[in-house]
Amino acid sequence: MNRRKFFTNIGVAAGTVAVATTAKATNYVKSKEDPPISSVAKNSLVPEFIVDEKTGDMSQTPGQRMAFQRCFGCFDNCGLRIRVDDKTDKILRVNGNPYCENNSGDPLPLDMPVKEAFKSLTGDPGHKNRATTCGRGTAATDSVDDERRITQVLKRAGKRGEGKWQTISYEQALKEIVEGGDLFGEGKVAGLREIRRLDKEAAPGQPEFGSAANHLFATYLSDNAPRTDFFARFMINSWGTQNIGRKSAYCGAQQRLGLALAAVDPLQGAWHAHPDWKEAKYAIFLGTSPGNSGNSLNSLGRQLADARVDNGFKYVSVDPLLRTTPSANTGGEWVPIKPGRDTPFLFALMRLMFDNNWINTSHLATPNASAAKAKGELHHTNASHLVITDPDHPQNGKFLRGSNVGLTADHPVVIDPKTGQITDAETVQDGELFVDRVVTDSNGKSIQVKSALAILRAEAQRNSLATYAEATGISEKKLKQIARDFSHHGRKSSVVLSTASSSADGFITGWLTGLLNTLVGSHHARGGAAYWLGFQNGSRGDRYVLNAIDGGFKKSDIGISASREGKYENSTEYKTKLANNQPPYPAKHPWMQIAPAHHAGEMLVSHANNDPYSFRAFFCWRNNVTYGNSGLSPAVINSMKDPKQLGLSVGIDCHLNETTNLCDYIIPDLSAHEEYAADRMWGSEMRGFSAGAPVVTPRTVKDKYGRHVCMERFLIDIALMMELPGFGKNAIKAKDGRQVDLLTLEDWSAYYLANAAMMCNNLPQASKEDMIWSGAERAMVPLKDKLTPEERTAVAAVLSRGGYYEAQPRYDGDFLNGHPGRCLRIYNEAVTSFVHAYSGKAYPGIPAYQPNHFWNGDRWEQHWSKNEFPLLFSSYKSTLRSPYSVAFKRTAEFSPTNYVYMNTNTAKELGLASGNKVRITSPSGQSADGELQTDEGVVEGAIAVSTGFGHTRGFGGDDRTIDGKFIKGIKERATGTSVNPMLPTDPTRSGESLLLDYWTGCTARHGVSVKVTKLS
Amino acid sequence: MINRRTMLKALGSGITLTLIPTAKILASNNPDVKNLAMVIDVRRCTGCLSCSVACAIENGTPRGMTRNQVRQFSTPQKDSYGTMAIPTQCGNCKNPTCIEPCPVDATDKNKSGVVYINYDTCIACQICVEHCPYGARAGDANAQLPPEKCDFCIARSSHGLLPACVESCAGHSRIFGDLNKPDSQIVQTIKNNRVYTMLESKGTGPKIYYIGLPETTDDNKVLTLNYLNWQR
Ligand code: SF4
Ligand code: SF4
Ligand code: SF4
Repeated sequence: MNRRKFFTNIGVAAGTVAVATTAKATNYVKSKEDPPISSVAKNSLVPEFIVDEKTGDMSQTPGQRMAFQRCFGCFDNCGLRIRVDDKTDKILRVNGNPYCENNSGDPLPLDMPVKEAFKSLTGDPGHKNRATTCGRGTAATDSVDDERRITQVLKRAGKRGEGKWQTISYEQALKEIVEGGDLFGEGKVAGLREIRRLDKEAAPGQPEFGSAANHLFATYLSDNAPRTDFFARFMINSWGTQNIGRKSAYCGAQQRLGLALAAVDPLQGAWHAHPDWKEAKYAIFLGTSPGNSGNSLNSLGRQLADARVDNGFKYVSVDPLLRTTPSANTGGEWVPIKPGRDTPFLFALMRLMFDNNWINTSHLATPNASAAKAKGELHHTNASHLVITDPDHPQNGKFLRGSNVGLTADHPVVIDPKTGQITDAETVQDGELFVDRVVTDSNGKSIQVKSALAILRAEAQRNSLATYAEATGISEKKLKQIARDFSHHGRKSSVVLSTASSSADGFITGWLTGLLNTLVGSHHARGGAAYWLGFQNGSRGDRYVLNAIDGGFKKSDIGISASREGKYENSTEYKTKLANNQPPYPAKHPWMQIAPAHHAGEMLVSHANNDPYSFRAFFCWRNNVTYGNSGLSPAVINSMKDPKQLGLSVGIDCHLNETTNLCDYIIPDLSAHEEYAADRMWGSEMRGFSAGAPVVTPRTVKDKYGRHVCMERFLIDIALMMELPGFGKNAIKAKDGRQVDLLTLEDWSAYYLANAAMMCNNLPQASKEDMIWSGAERAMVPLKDKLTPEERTAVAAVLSRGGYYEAQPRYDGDFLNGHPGRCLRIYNEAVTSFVHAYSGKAYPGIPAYQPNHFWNGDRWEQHWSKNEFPLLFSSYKSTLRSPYSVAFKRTAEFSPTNYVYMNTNTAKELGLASGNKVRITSPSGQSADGELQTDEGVVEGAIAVSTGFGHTRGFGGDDRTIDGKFIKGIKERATGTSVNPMLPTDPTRSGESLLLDYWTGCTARHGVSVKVTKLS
Repeated sequence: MINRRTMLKALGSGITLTLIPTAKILASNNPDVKNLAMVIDVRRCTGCLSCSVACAIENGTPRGMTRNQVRQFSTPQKDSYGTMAIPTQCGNCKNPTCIEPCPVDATDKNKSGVVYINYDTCIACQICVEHCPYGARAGDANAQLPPEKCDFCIARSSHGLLPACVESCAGHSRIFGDLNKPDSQIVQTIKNNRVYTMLESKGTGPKIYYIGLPETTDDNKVLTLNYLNWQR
């Protein structure tokens, strides 16, 4: 039989297939014996288990092992069960951990033996017990043995960023980095030893910036606590730098900080809500697409699916781009919104709710904890508390208190609706909700006061519905329908968001979502806005002291960061201006006072501006700030490239990325499946953590003692060479009085896991069989001798289940279980003590509507002409893309490129068509090129582009030369458009700048103006 | 504001899907042999692509020769647009059109109702690829590699394990089982829902049964949609 050339798929674009139209079906009659399975499943994996259909018994396939880990396909930290081939020590496939809520939504109890748990994943019961990883977590199967992974120690062999490297020994790198010298034939480079000068000021004459130890700038990953905490302990507590930057501040922290203000004071954390799916009846997803991005794609995806099909759940997805969430044939609806206009949308809902009295008055009027208890409420609110609204009063903006009006207790006061009298808020069942009047204080003076809710209502009603409709592009009719639906589903309703609405008022957006959920009483309510229960953080455990170093530093000892995350009023600049009788405001640069978000991007901006100082050394561990933080200008990048401005830079990672590509040295690091892990799970309602240990031998090069090189190895060795505190022999204090060593990765991991495990209340007993089936037996080998018997049992129990997942009833009455009652803040008094460093004005106690504006208060439109830049920009995270998933083969296969998505009508108006090659240009003049795709699933007048593409300078998409050998970039990894570098800066700031959220100083990227022009 | 005429017409073309009567699916039961099949509830599919990726890894499919695809598109709704995510793959049909043309008898149906390719005898001629009305066999343009098609993860399903795409399905959209087992979840699900198949009129009787598919779905269009264009 001749082979014939086959052309069916030739000339057909990737992703489509040819369909035969002539084929005719005839009744099939079986004629042959079945071939052996091995002839059919030729390239398939051998299954991990075999279930005997007759006996029902299950056995493990010889030559394969299972191991638990935690997923790092994204930041959600789901659990994993991993199949490993014994002979090759290679990962075969990755799947979810059936004990972990993030994989299953309905996990198996911890006391179920491991074999039984695995068995329950097979056959018909396997449907119900499915424990999944999403597409990107699954694709991570390839990550350990990726062909472009970095496993050797590299030193640049050309200019920074040229992509030329040589491999050197670990010991050589260590010596050069610590001792310096003429390392690149470009003149003397200061080593770490020379840089860490505790006796010198970082910024001479400005003591608030601490010592010159701050000249070391480090960026790191913010997830996987055992490793993150190790890194931070080295940098902060041992070395003494405050410049330890991470992603949160350019990844939407402003919204989470804003949301938190509805429940706590500033500096008391960040909050993140999702609907309580099991009972939710209505939800508004604002700029977030559950099941596609944000919290666990597994548990939230599954619960979304349940809700769509079973619960009569109604939901709107308010998003510039139609993503997969609002499925046809379900209760979902997509409401297109202009990018960057989430705040006016929320204000519109709020206004309508006030106009129509669609608020939960009974809940809101509850002024204290005992009244809440009496009413069966979890929380009370300060809606009825009176606020001094008298500009001439010294306490303007603060609560009117008992002391102001001659009451004995100094609590906030309310008007008692029964008597109409001013009363201690702690003593009544209800407070009057809307108060706007003059009261007489104990000295007989009149004070203008308003209730918190009256202030909020006035702000919401300051603008007309038409104004909000115009700003958002959503009709008044639709706004009314959403407000009605949201409020009429009562407490089983919530509005949630994710990082995709990071505009210059993202803080206000987040705050408003918190307040809207308060207005309907849905925080922690059955069916309402749900929150994580947290995890047992090993650094805070008591078996080993891991979060402090004797003879080391505390965070408060070492000054403020170069990005000015502190109070401007404590600064030398402020004091000097006052002393010289100059007005102190505006400050020269933004100050991020209400939350130190560890803004890596702003730290780089300070460096580029050499104000307050430039860094002398840079350590980049598992972070990619130049790719992820939008709007870092070419000048900032150059300040990192120029060895005169930045003497030494070291990347520590398992892949090259856009940032480490600019480094002098690369220290290879563990990939996610090779590390110890124990971290909170994003979106989990169970208290606990997913955990794991290396499932295969690390692929990184070894040091001269035969130990694998990794971040921990490297920092320990630096500490030992420089005799930094907290490392080495007897470096760590144990609870039983011993001093234990910190010499290896395994030392630290053992202590961390012991701390975490000993905090767990209901650990299972790990049987011998559990230990084998779960891979924990193998995982314990390097750890067990470092632990006491009691700790050993606890750590083994944790590893035998791939983490700890505390089972407890989901609800307590009408509320989610395990959450403390609080005073929900309609008015946040504490935030009014902060002053904006440009305007000199106090922060408002309620969110204020102010369309997007720059740091000096100018509106964006004043600088970005609508004629020249007619489109609004938005970005989002596509389903398969996350920082590391970029480098997985199957990611490139199923998510080959991104598009510049535009509404068909908008494209027509601009003379563009689907398939055009286009250029996006921002008002800063930076641009990015991509392919246009048009349909109706994009709001008009805007574009939406996914992040996670255009990696031409990292993850194997880059060309590199190692030891003289040229390695061409893999073109499938470099496809698509990278948008962040194109995004604009703030023209009203001096020097290099980022466009920031006005209130928190986190990066803003959403809703900015751009133009799109045709290239071909 | 939204121009419906430019919409992708994967829905609402005037053609309507034909409901497959439960009795027809569950007829001719022979309890002694298996008749493997899959149900996909498209309302539950979140488009996470875990199934596609898991299948590719489990079955070692060459890049681009995927055995299953999740075809996604936007579709008009009452006030705006909604999405459809429709996973597609070989139906391991009752009356397959792809078996007979094979010149070397390398593809056939086994006793459990799975249409397989015997890689030891397949000559990679790709003729079968052209004879599938669903485009469910991924061909190799260079005629070097055997085609790839869904065989319900034959190695897994014949050892009591769920197929890779089913055990990985985050939305619990997929249900797999034996149509000859009355108490199985798949039979119960088919009994309790309206189910459809793609290209019913072809008479092939695919055993991928859809739930939640709007009756106005243009199955011809869906099957030719580029599954890589939806990057959201
Ligand atoms: S959601 Fe994130 S952590 Fe969870 S499985 Fe997917 S990639 Fe992994
Ligand atoms: S059953 Fe197996 S071969 Fe078929 S699509 Fe699913 S994973 Fe792929
Ligand atoms: S795994 Fe399930 S939910 Fe995810 S895309 Fe596939 S069918 Fe849909």
